[in-house]
Amino acid sequence: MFIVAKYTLVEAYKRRFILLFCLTLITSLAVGGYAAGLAVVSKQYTLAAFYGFCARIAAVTLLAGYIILNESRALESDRASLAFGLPIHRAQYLAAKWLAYLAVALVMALLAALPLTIMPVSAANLLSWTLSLYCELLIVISVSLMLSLIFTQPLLSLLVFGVFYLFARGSGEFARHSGHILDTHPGGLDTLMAWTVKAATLIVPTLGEFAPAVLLLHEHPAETAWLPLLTQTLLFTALLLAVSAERLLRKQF
Amino acid sequence: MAGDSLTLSHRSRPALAALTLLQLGLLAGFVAAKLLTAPGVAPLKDVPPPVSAEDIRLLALGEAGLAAKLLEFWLLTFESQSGRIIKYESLDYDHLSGWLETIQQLDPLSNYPSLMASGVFIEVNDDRRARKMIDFVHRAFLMAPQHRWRWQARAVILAKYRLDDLELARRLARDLRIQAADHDIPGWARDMEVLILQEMGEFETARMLVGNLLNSGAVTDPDELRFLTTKLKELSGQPLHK
Repeated sequence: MFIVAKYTLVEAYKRRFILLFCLTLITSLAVGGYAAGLAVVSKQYTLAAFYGFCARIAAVTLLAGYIILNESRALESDRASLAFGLPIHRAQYLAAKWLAYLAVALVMALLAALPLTIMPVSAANLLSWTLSLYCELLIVISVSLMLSLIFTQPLLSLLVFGVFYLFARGSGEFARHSGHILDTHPGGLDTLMAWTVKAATLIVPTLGEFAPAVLLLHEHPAETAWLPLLTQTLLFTALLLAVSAERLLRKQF
Repeated sequence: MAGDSLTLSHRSRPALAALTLLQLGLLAGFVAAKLLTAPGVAPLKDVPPPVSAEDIRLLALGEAGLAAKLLEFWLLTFESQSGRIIKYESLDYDHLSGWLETIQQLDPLSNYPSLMASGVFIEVNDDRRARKMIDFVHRAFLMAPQHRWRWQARAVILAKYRLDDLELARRLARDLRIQAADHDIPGWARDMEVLILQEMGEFETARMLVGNLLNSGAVTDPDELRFLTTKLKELSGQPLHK
């Protein structure tokens, strides 16, 4: 198990994944700097918020893309025999991969938070942002691993991930909106649509409330609802890992 | 075999030269087409009707605060269009005011909408439009007096000097004083109403107001106490020094 985790980390290092992420962070800083240039007041907070948003999107897309492309290739029938030739259980293989990516995500979250330490962001907001980014990356890892086990085509996995991510980010607002529609009792197709959307929002985490840029936009420490955030992360991650384990055990190599 | 050689044969050289020429010709044609179809001078745009904060929240995918920031930047771009600086008089201020409301709802903690209304869009040679901006600042102040008293104080000054409307300035200053009782608003902002009343010639009301402020015990700052005591004497027609 340890060897699988070790080689996953070595592969990430050799492919210069973290270096690529650092380059996207520099680009995010440039975007933040441009936005700060447009602002009339609160330039530093504008810089922090735009940087935070771009860094988060960069972390999510890079990590998901990396895991999906890497794992889809590793699980190709001619390569999988190499990995599963090791004397470990398939569930252990999955756990090792997951833990290795968890370590990569931790480095990414800390690197993303680093430039914010020299910006006028309160310590409480910085901590909230970093921790919730890590929680979001945890979900991204689990979704990406699951998708690469379900679909053999990485392009399809990436597409499904994109749809999932966009829907999960807007799910909080979609739930509020459909709830409002249902309160007005429109009847017919509108009610059906509203129920469908509301039901769909229940099976995805509310990613819009994870590390929002507004945490970095204001001086005052914002309150983060940790309990729902951590509960969603733990339950959703456990669910996806269970699905991934089941898929891996059933897979014929 | 000679036919399988990877080196460039003499026969393929003319074909490569022709391809290079074709590439250059196509590039020149592309540039010429771009020059011929260069966009003309774009017509000036007006501010479109505002979109509700709920609709923007749906599109913002959980980043309502950032969406508000982008809308702020976008509203400021109406001043300069296609390299031309346009006057605010040509903009629809009903729509503008609606967008400011939307931004405020998207990010309730932001002071930017009040700043834009009282510092940027107020610079218009049309009293009706300027009043709309002051009205927006007033409404935003009443929603969060603690955070937006600065812009309300600015609105008082603008109503007095920019619009020359002392009645409006007094109404704004009165709300500033009323809200100061429950919020941490500095004394100088609270006392603006006294100065406006004095300007209006309503000495009796001003005297009563200063007397009430002094008797209420709300004023603790020695400098403000001195100012109000002096003002009370001035309003009572008493000499400043015995």
